[in-house]
Amino acid sequence: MSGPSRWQRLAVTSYPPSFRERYGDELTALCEDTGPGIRSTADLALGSLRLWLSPSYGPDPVERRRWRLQSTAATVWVCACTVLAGTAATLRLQVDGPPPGFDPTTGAWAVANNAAGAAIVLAAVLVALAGAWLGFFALREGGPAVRRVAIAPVVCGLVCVVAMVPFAWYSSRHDLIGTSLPLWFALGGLAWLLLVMVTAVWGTLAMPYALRLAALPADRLRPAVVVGVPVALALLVPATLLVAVALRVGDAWGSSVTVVTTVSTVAVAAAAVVALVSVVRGLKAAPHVVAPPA
Amino acid sequence: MSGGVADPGVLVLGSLAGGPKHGWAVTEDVREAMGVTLGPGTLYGALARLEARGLVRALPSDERRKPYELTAAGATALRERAEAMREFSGTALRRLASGSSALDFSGGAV
Repeated sequence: MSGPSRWQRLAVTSYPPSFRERYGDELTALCEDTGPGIRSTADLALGSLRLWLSPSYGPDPVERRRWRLQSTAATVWVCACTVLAGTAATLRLQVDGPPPGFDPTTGAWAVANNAAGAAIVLAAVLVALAGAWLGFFALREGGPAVRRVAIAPVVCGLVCVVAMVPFAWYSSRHDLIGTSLPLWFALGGLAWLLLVMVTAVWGTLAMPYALRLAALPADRLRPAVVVGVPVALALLVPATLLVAVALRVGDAWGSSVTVVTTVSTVAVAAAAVVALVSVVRGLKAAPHVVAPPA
Repeated sequence: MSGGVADPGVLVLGSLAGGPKHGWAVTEDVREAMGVTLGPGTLYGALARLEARGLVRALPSDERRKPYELTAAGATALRERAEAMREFSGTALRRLASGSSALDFSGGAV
């Protein structure tokens, strides 16, 4: 017996967390018994995929429903952050400098842009409310481990806000268009943009991790899942717009911009669909939540 | 339970009908008895589903390799499945036998 290979270990870590907690050690022990091999590694990967798609395991049905709600809350959070950030970046590329023959500010495109804008605002507000709800209870009930997860993105976010001050001050006193920017402004702006991106990614990933650590009861998770319904529906609007713009514009900008916008459009559309699927699965579990005894 | 004799759930139940076993012992038993090799992902996916439905249970153990045993509900489910399969195989064999006779009488044309 030569023990599990690196790929087998990786495949075991790809299983859903609740499955890993219950069966992970046994699965690893079995891999030690069977030894490395392409067939068993592929079998592990397929088993993981099946469980992610249909998590019908675990001896406790109440815990299974809680886990489903937690998965939906985390998935909708990540998808919403992806769609909101991806849409903002992609629309800026696609719409702010439209190619000849495409005017996104008139006719049906203008209506679609306004609808997408309204949907983005609605989704952002609802996601912020649901995030505040989950974050509050995760911090209160999750203990120091959750606080350690949350502190870094919160501090980074505050630094981003404070760091805007000198740029805003300089911009209010100088005309930035048509003049060469001072070196500190250019480098500082780049660093600030990088910090914003890091904070966004960190904040996006911190929520699922904090939820997993806090293991909130189902009745705490349920409101966030219910709020996820309008969020998931709202996310479809900008995603549809991005796909429509991408189909309409084609590669009129040239290949480099087209590659970037195509990748981000596919990511946004995929995230919107995943959020909708996840919220439907979460809603199936939501009515069966057993309230804890008073 | 759905699926035929190659259904991993049925194979695991059939193996545990012979007594409690851990994962590796189930894999070996199924390979020897049925000639089917259950991969680790398939085996634990089946065990998890069977445990969720109360058809098998894990026995207490300090080892990482936990043994599993058949529950009363699991024994009932396995018996029903085995009888259904026996009925099916009996019917299929009878039909094949009568089909062979018919072919013989018709001169063996295919």
